Amino acid sequence: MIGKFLEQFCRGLRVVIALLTMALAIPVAAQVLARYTGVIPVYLWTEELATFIFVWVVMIGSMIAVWDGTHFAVLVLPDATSPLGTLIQNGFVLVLLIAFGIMFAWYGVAYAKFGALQHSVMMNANMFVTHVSVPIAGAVWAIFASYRLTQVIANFRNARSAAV
Amino acid sequence: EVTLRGASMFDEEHAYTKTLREFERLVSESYDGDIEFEMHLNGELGDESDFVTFLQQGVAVDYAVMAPANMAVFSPSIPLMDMPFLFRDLEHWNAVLSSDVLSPLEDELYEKADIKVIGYAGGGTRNLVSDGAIANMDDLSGHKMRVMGAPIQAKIFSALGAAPSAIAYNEVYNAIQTGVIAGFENEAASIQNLKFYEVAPNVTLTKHTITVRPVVMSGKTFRKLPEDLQQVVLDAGAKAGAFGRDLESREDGEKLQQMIDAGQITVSEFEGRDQMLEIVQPVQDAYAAELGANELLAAIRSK
Amino acid sequence: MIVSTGMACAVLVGCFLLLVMLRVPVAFALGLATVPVVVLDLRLTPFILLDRMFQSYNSFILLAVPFFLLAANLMNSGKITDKLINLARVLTGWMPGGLGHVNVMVSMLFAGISGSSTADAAGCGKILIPAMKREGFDLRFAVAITACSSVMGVIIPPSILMVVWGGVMQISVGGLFLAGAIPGLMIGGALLATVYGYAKVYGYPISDRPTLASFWTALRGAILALLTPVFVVGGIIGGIVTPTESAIIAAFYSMILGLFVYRTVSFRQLGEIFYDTGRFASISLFAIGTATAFGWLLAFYKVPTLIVGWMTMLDAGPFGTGLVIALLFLLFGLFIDAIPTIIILGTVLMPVAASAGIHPVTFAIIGIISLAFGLVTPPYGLCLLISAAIGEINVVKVLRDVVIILFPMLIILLLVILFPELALWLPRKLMPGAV
Ligand code: NA
Ligand code: NA
Repeated sequence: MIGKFLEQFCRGLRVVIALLTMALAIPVAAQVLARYTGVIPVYLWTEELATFIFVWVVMIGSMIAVWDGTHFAVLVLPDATSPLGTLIQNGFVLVLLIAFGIMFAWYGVAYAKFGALQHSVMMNANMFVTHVSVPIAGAVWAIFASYRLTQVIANFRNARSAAV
Repeated sequence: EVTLRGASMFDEEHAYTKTLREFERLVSESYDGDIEFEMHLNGELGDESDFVTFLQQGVAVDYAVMAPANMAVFSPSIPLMDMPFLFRDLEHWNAVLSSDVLSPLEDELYEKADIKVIGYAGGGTRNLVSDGAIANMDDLSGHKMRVMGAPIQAKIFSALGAAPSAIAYNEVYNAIQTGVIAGFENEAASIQNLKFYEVAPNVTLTKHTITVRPVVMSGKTFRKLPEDLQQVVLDAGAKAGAFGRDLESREDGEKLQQMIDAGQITVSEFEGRDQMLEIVQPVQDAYAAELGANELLAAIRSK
Repeated sequence: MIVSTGMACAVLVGCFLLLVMLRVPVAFALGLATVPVVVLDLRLTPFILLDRMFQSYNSFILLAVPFFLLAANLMNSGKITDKLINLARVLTGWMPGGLGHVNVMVSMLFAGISGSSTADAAGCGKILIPAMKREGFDLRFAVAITACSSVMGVIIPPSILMVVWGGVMQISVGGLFLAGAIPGLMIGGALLATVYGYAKVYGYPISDRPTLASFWTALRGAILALLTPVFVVGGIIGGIVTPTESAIIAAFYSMILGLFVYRTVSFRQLGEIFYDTGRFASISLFAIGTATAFGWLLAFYKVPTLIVGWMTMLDAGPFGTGLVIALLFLLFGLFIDAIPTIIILGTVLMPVAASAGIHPVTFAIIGIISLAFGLVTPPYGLCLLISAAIGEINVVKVLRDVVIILFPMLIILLLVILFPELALWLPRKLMPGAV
C-alpha cells in the first residue's frame, strides 16, 4: 500500500525531471537567440531562470536515485553471505541515509526560510522557490530510504524463516 | 577573549584586504581587552555572494568588504549606492561617504539582512573595456557588452544605446575573445588581475561609476560584542574605510598607468560624456521612484 | 570547541574512507563525513554545509554537464553510436584483438563528438562488452578497456572539464580544446598498442575483414555525426556561442540527426532521453555539491594553503612541479569527482604552476588528463563503475587489467609534462591569440 503510493510518487518525480531537463534548454537557447536576433527583449533573466531549473533537476534527481538505489557506491568489501550479514550491510547504509535526510530536512527548513528573505535580482523571484528544494529533498530521501529499510528487514525475516 | 574572522576574495596586496588589515590594526590598538583576528584570503571560503550568507547567519565570517550588488538579494535598494553616474567626481563621492546620507540604506540592510555597515571603502573608477575602440555615442550604439547583474545596470546602458548581454562573469574572458560580446565595464584592478586586457585592450574613460564598497560586520556578531568593543569597531570601521578609499582611488590611477606603460591597454577619452548624463538622469529618477528612494537620491545629488 | 586543522583533516578523510568502504554512496559519504566536524566546531553549523552544497549548483558553467550528456544520450539512443562502431570496425576490426581496437577507436570518435566520458562508457560499453564476451575476450579485459578508453572523452575536444576549467581559471576554452587534441590522440595510440599486446599474449580474435564497399557504407553512415566537433569547436572559436552554450549546439545537432536525418529517435523516445539525461546528470552533479562542501571545509581549515606552502618550498622546477601537480590531481581523483577537484585544487595550484614556469594551458592539460584517469581509478571512478555494472562484475576483479592498461597512458601524461609543446603546438598554430 505505502510502497504503491511511493512508487507512484516517484513516477511523478520522473515525469517532472524529464520536463525540467527539457525546459532547461529554453532559457539558454533564448539567450543565444536574443543576442543574435533581438527577438526576445534583452533582459538578463535567462541565466537566472536556467540556474533555478537546474537546482530542481539536481535535487529531484537525487531523490529518484535514493529510491532506485543508483547513487554510486563502491563495492570494495565482498557481499555478505548470511541473511544477518546482508541485513547489517544494507541496513547500515540506509540508516545513515535516513539520518542524513533528517538532518537535511531539519536544517533545510531554516534554509528555506532564509531563502524566503531573499529576492532574485533579475526576475525578482522569492528565493524560497529554489531553497525549499533542500528540505523537500532531505525529507524524501529519509522517506524513500525508510521504506527500503523495511524491505531489507522483510527480506531478512523471509530468509530466516525459509532457513528454519 | 574574542576572535573575529574576516574574509577577502583577494591576496594581501589588494586594497580590500589592506582595508581589513587596517581595521584589525585599529581595533587591536584601541581596545583594551583580548582580541584576535583570523583572515581567509583569495576567496578560500567563496565569493562575496557567499560571504553575504555567512554574515547573515553569523557563521564562519564576521567581517568583509562587499560589493553592494551582492547584497541586493536581501535589500533591493542597496545597489543604488553605486549605480552608474551617481557621483559627479571623486570629491562628491568622498563627501557622500564621509557623511551619513546613506544611513537609510544601512538601516534597510541591517533590518533585512542583519548585516551592519561599519565603513565605506571603494574608489575604483569603472570604465568601458572593449575589444575595439569606443570613441563616442555612435560607437556605443548597439555595442554588445556585458553588464553587472543588477537591473539598473542593464537599464542605464540600454538607455545609452548599448546592447547589454547576459554573460556570467567567469565566461566574460572567453566571450570577448571569441566575439560573443565586444566588451564590458570594469575598474583597473580587475582588468589587471584577471588579465582582461589580453582580450579587451581598449579602455574608454567614461568614468561612469566610482565604486562604493561597504565594510560590513555580521549583525549577530556585532550584538554579541561587549559594548565598549562595539564602539571601537564602529570607529575603526569608519577609519579603515577612509583609509581604503584613499588607497584604492590612488591605486586605481596607478594601475591604469602600469597597464599603459606595459603596452597592455590603450586609453582614450569619451566624446560626449555630458550627453550621457542627460540621458541617464531620468532612468535614475525612475529607478529611485520604484524603490521609494527619491529623497535619498536628491540628498546624494545635493551633497 | 575549536577543531584543529590536523583533527579536522583526520575526521574528514577518515570518515569518508570508512563510509565508502561500508558501501555508503560516495556522494552521501562526502556529505556525512563533514557532519562531525560542523557539529563539533563552534564556528560552524550544518546550515553552512547545506548552503555550500546548494550554491555549488548555482553556476551557469555547470549547465554544460547536462547538455553534453544530452547530446551523448541522443547519440546512444539514436543509434549514432552504432554507426560509429561500424566505422570503427572497418577501420580497426581487422587487427589482432579486433573488437578491442574497435572499442578504443569508437571512444576516440565518440570523444570528438561528446564532452562526456561517462556517456561513452555507458553507450559503447552496452554494445561492445557483451559483443567482446561473445567473441571470446576475457570479460575483465573487456570491462577494463571500455573504461580506460572512455577517458579520452574529456581529453579529446569537446570536453565538459575544459569548459569548467576555462571558466573557473580565465583561460580560453577554444585554446584548451585544441590543446587536448594531440595528447588525446596519443593516448588513443597507446591504448591501441596495449590492445595489440593483449591480443598477441592471449590470442584474441580478429573481428572483420573490411572491403572497400563496406568502408564507404560505414563512412557515409557516420560522416554527419563526425561533423559535430566542427560545429562545437567552430562555434566557440568563431565567436557564435560561449563554451557553455556550445554544449547546447551539440545537443540540438544530435537531436536533429536523430529525429529527422537518421530518423532513429521518435518524439516519444525523446521524453525517455530527457529523463535519462536529467536523472544521470543529477547523480553526478549531486556529488559535486557534497564534494564542494567537503572541499570548503578543507579550505576553512586552510589545508590548501598548507599544500601550496609546501609545494612552493620544494621549488622543484617545471618538470618536478608538473609531476607533483599530476600526482595531486590523480590522488584527488581517487576520491572525488573531477569538477569539484578543478574548483578546489585547480585554483590552488594555478599560482604554484605559474611560479614554476608552467604555461597555464599545459597546466590545464596536465590537470585534465590526470583527472580523466581518476574516472577509472577506484574507489570513485565513474567510468569504471559504469563499465563494471554493464559487465556485471565486481570492480575489484578488473583492477589488475585497469592497472596494466593505464600504465602506457601514464607514460603519455609524463610526456606532456616533459614536452609541453605536445599540448601547446596546435593552439599556437590555430589560435595564436589564445595561448
Ligand atoms: Na570529447
Ligand atoms: Na571504449
